[in-house]
Amino acid sequence: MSYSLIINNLEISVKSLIGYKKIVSDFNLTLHPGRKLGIVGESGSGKTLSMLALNRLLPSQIEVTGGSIFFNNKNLNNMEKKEFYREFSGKKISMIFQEPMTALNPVYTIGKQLRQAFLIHNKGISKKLSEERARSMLDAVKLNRIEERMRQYPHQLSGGQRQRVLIALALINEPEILIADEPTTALDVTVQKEILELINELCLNFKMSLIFISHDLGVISKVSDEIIVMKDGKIIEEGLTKKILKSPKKDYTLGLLKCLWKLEKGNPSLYTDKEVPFIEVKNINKEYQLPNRFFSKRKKLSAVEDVSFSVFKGESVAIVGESGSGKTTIAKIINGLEYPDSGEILINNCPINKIDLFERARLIQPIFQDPYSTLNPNHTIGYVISRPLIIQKRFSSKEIYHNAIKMLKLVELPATFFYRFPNQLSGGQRQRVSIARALILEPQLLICDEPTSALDVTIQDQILDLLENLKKKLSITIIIISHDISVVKYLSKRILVIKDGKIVESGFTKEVLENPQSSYTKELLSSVFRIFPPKRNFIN
Amino acid sequence: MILKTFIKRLVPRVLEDDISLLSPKTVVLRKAISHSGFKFGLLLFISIILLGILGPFFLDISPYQQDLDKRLLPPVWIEGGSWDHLLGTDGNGRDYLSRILSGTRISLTIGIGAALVGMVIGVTLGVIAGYFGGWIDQFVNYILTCQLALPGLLLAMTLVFLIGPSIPVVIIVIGCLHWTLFLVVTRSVTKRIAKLDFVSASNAIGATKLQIIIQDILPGIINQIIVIFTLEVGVAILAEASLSFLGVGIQPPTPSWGLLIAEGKEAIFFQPWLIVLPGIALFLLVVSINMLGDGLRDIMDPKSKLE
Repeated sequence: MSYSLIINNLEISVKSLIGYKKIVSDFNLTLHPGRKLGIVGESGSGKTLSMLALNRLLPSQIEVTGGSIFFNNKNLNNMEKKEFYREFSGKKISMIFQEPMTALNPVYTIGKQLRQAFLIHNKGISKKLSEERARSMLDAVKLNRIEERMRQYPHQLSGGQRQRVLIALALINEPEILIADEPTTALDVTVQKEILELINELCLNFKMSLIFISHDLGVISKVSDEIIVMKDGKIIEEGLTKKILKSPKKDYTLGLLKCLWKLEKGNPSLYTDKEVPFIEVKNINKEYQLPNRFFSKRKKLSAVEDVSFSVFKGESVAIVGESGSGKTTIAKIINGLEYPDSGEILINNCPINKIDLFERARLIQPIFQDPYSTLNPNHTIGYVISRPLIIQKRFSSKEIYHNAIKMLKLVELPATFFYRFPNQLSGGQRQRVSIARALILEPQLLICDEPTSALDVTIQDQILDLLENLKKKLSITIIIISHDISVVKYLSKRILVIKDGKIVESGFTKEVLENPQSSYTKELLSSVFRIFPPKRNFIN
Repeated sequence: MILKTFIKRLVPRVLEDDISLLSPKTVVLRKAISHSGFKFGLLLFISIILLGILGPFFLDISPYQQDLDKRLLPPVWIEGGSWDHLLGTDGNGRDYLSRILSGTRISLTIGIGAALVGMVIGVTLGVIAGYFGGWIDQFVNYILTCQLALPGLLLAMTLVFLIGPSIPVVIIVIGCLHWTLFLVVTRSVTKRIAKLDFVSASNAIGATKLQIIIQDILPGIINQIIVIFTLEVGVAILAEASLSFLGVGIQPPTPSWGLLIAEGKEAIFFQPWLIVLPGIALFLLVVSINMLGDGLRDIMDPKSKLE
């Protein structure tokens, strides 16, 4: 079986009242059987759009305006819609999407969805045969307890299991090309590793070629032989993965890699002045009550179990764990936004629930993960930043205005942003605003809950630099919460690894990362795909 | 022309790229000026109000003066109409134009007043239920279920009958029966907003619960409230009409649009203008309020673009 996919000068445009505006141009790609291709780029670079165009899944305002797509010398662009869906979509080319939570239909069982996908291209097949096929696919994606899974609904599965079902759905008609669009971005690192290994293995077993889209060079390096780097709708660089990771030719790629190398090299300037305990967390516990149903006992979910640690003044400590491990709950408890069921938190030897609201606000400030929900869309940036001072009621309006402008400068935003609304800002800019809001009260402790995980690599780099500079300038204590080992390594001196609400391991970051003691930390570390800087610096 | 130059001077012109340099007030003003639906709705609404207030002064025919010789005269453009009674007369020979004009005031007061009463009740309960959750939420839901289970019109009739019909009573009774839509919508939107990070951030800077509700949550639900409000004004005016029709709303001979429609009902096949004319008035009022509300929503929303 030999086939090939050739895309020539593909051009995609948005239709508007004024005319067409190009968003992807000169997109060329050649894919041979059995090859694995990675497309890497930041959000808005057109990597997903070009693959949607290949599958004819473009949103209604966006059209292919030029170029050609050849599959086995057949021009897919000229093909009738019906014929394309009958012959190609799902049968020859199949796609996996990013969000495993929404890609499955919540009202059908897994088995039914698999059977339907199979029946679309194999009409008139008996129920027994199609069920058999569905079972063998679930087996191929290594799900356990297949009989049970067939009868389950999507909400009964975890994220990783759903992504496996989606892969089974995509492969049930044995496509020749599998397109995976950020299939692991929404998953935890340990699950991500398993899924990537599965995809690699299936590509071999099913003799498929793979197009893997991701923003994460680490992930791409694991699954692809060749890489295409995209930016602003254009291909910046392409070539063999190994070559590009070692010696990129274009500045943009080098810039991307430098951001990652810098994290990997670590940060020599992590220091503490004096070992004065600033905040002490003593044996805190927190349980959540699950909503009760009729005639059944209330169930409890333990989010934090017997956690104690302390943070010294001017230090930065990281709390690392996967989703659901209770790390965000700990952050909220320290911040006073949630109350522990037992245990206490001392700040400067004073229990946190005895500190009044205003005083607490001047001690601790949070920075949240999602730049899109951290700012009230109805308030201007100026108001968002100055509101902490307005609420404290101790400042004149002139003082407040000057302070807010000063803060904008501190986070490297122009003063003209004062009257803007959050929707006019990019994700990175919003995160800067939220840092400014947190810093205007000159707090002594910043709690950063995944401050960069929703941002692109280059933006992440800028925000991390900003945090680092601010730490030096203002000598504040930082507690950083993250699932990303490299971010943690760059920002923090000590690390707490947390699993299911319990501290599994703690110690100096360097020691923990180099010589992990607990098996969970080891697993976590082995799931991270790191990009090491080359031994010899060939540019600097 | 003069108006245009005046407006231009009022609103400083800035290059299109520099929208961010404008203060939020200027942006809202410029959005208002460029929003044709808003302008039309505002114009219509203001003229209805002016007609309602000033109209009776210019018309020297009393809406109550009966003239049994001139019963059921058609409007002037239909054969048999006369210039003495522009829109004809009703079954008792009262001038219809005069009755509609003085009915404007009553219908407007009842419509807007009742919608306001409903809004205050519904939004308060909705925000409280959505923000605090737990048993408070369950309690509010219980009240809602009770309200929905009651036959509204029957209750209104009983209440008005017991207290005695007057305009304030009608307003309050109708308002107390039309808050469920406000409650349902504000509760769900509040629930969604209360989970967002900026509410936690406000908590962390020491804002009180009241400050969070007023400064963080209300601005987020104001758009939905405006839309429901415009709907409820129309509904309230119609509810007044049905109360009046049943004899427990506005008492004749006081003219209200609802009462006019109710009185004209018997003659629908023979003198249709008796229903059509107050119907048109009601339609214009509801349309103007709807357009005004939609426009307001677009203008106040920071996400909408300035054109």
